[in-house]
Amino acid sequence: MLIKLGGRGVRALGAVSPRPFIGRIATDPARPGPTEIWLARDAGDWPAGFRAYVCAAAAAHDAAPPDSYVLDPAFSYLGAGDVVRIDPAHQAIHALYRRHARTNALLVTERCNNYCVMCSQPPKDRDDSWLVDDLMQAIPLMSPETRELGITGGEPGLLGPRLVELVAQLRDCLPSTAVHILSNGRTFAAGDLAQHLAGLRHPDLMLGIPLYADVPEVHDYVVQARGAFDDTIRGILNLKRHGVRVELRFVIHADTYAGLPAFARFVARNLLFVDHVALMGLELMGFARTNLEALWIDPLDYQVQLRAAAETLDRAGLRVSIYNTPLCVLAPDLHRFARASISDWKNAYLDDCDGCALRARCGGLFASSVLRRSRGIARVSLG
Amino acid sequence: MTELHPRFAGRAAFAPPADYRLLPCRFLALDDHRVVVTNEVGEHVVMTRDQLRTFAGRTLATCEPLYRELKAKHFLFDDESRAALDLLALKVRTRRAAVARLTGLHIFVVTLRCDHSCHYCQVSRQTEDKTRFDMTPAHADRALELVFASPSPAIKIEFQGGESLLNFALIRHVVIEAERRNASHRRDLQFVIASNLTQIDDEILEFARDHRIYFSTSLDGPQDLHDANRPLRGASSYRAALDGVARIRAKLGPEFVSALMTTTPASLPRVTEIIDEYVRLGFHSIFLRSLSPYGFAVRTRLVRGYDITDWLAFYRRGLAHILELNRRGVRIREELTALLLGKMFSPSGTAYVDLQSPAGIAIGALVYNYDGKIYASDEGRMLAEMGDHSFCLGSLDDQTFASVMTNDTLHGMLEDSLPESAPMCSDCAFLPWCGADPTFHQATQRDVVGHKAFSAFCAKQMAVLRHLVTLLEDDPEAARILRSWI
Amino acid sequence: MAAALTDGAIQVVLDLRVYRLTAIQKTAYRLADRVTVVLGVIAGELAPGGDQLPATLQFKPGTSEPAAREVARQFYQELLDQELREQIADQTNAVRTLILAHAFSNADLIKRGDRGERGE
Repeated sequence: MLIKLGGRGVRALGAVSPRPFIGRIATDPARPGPTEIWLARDAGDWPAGFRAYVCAAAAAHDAAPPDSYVLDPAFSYLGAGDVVRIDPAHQAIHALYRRHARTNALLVTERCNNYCVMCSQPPKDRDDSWLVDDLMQAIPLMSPETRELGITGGEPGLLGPRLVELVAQLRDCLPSTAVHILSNGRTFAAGDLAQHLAGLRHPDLMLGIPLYADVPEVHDYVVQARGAFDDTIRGILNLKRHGVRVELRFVIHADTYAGLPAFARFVARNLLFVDHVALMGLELMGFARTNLEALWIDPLDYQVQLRAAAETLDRAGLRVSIYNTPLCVLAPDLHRFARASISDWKNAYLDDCDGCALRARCGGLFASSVLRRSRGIARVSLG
Repeated sequence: MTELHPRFAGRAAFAPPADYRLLPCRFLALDDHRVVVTNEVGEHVVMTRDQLRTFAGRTLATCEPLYRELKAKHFLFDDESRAALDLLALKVRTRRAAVARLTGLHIFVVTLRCDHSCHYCQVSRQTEDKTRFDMTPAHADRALELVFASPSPAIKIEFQGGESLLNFALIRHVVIEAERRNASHRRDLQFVIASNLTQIDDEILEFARDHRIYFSTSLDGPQDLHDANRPLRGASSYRAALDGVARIRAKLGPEFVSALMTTTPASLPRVTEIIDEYVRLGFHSIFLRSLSPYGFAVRTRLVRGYDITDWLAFYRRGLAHILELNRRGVRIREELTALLLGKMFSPSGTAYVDLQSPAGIAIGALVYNYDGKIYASDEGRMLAEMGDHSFCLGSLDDQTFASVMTNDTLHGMLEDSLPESAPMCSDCAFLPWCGADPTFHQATQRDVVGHKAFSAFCAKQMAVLRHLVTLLEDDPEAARILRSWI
Repeated sequence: MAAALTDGAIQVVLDLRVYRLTAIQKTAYRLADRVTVVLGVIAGELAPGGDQLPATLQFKPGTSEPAAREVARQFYQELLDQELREQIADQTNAVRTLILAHAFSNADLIKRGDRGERGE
């Protein structure tokens, strides 16, 4: 199921707010409020006291209160508890949080101090501090029963103290929600950011930090930044020194796959204290598309290196996962490391997947994978 | 390979500077044309002598695979990146951290009495005289005070003899008393009974099961060899051991009993038979030990019955056989090899007391003898039986854990025998994988350091480690099996 | 290289511009199970100073000429290795101290802007 998280999708029925606003989708007329957005079943169904009103039905209605909108069918998945940002001037709506998604990713900035050759979300160098402002408002509206939230960028570490504020907000509003921050770790190398983050004593926090090689020249090339390897290593050491959990993430592509075994040996020797290592298939988005010819390698062609790395890490006692790779492409002895890791909104299965014996356990593919398809994709039948 | 989009820089833009600097390392000839180089924390690289000269002369090209290997394993660094120094410092600290958790192994010699009359035995007595050769409960209680005064989070109490089960009453007392004390200390507490299993009965088995006690027994190989080594009046020691092993496995589970073999001159031509015997009896591990130079073994000149070179041939043949068994799918590993591989590949090294730096004496193990004397190592008490009391740290009657660990003689021995400052050891490539054995050198050279050119300990370490490095380098299948033992 | 075996000994002269004294001494120690190396004395007389150091490789009675020559070869081989060890130690002693100091302190080893600091 592919869904559209944001974009043009609301048409005003009357007067609108001049600025974008954030609210929670509500379906209980007895519980209005200044941050609740009424989801109308029919046009004309406008109970009083809500911040705004959205309605799937196209018919206009004279009596529509201010901030009433017709919702594009692409957003019909929205339901009670979801948190959205509505930007009337651009007729835009963005789902910041979906109550029933397995995981939600909160975009905190699009700025980055790396420029990875395969970046799926290419950075934009502009002031986007409003993103965090929005999230600070949105977080109190999220359900305390939320299992996991991701913080993603750009590079969240560039927010500095604001990142600490954001995580404090998460800890206070959603104390039983696991928080996973995707960061390159560089901003934790020096100064006291790691210490401050650790000082929050968030009950379930993990930083996912990419490391692409055992030597600086290769890592720095992949992330297109000299000195990045040193910063990232020191960031990891600093975070662990202060007791923050760290996951290493290695994206496998034509420029990195040959170094997998050496990377694994390096981690087993130097970074044995990390909490998890994810070996990840390439998502064909962003710069990975730009550099498709240079970066593409069929996962079938790196199984030897992948097995060597997984074995080395596993024997060293590290938790190892293989992400973003359908089971039919993985050697059977590696299936135990495979995890269904692709977010629902960009996850897809192919026609070949229908009737596949492994389908229930398989994470499927990125929707973007249609660009290049492994020779190994095939329906698996048992026996 | 296709190029990246022009907005990205190619690999060349990130190439390291040609000029690099060496990190601390040591080398040693592996064979006629190759050397093995290790760094401060025991990572290693094998290279030719020519490559060594190029590397040390700082002219190795950055495009060479050897350059990348040396850089990743922290043998060199350059001005572009100093992360290697941070990581090396952390690895040094990790390897040294074990020293601070002092004394995890506590050996209680509950009796010297024994029903066997083994030729190689170092200490035992065949006697009924319990008063002279059994440990008293009062000494055992004092010993437990020392045990729980040690800061180690994991504590193993091992009962030895003589035949330890001849004084089962004291074992029972120590186990119950240790568990009582541990209710507040909360250490990871483990018990092991070293025994020939002749005395085992249902009462002992039930007690062992209820208190999760492990057994370690002697098994020297096939019956004729075992029984010749270990005479038991009117019975077969081999039969008794096998019977005991079967009963422990049935009552407690297979993991609760392991076996240890002693190599004698009679063992030397029979290593494959010995290993096959272990496999046949369902053991997954064997320790191909060399004969120790202590006790009756020296007195009876048994230790000169074979040279260390004979043992090395025995070990090499044995290891080859074990690797072949593994290739055929049989699960068995050799323990000395596994210990050394742990030293080579694990960031924290291994806890094996005989291969530590500083030496494992007292830091790794303390021995409480039947007579209340405290020794810094098991071999140290055997040396005392030969009249050399160098490793005696006083008596349970008047010592505390603190007084034992701050003993001047002990500190002198630890400091003197430190491999990092010992001649030959200090620039040996195998230093990070080796350790000090002051007891061995005191026994053989009357000096805790010893001249390593004359040391059988050194000769053995050098030969075994050269053999392992060569296997890892030249035999990929053996390397895969060996690495699976770590 | 080595002269003939005479009276159970081989006389050699070592060039102190090539091998430093510590390397020669460590080599002599390492080969002690095979040969006793007497440094700086010829026929009971103290050798004169300078760049040349005479050394006597004294073998056990009954050592054959080929066996002695083999040990002499090993002596020179070991001497080369030992000299190289000294060179490596010279190059790395400072950085070793730095690493050990950092390992047992809680301070950060590398401060920003410290990249030009030399470890030699």
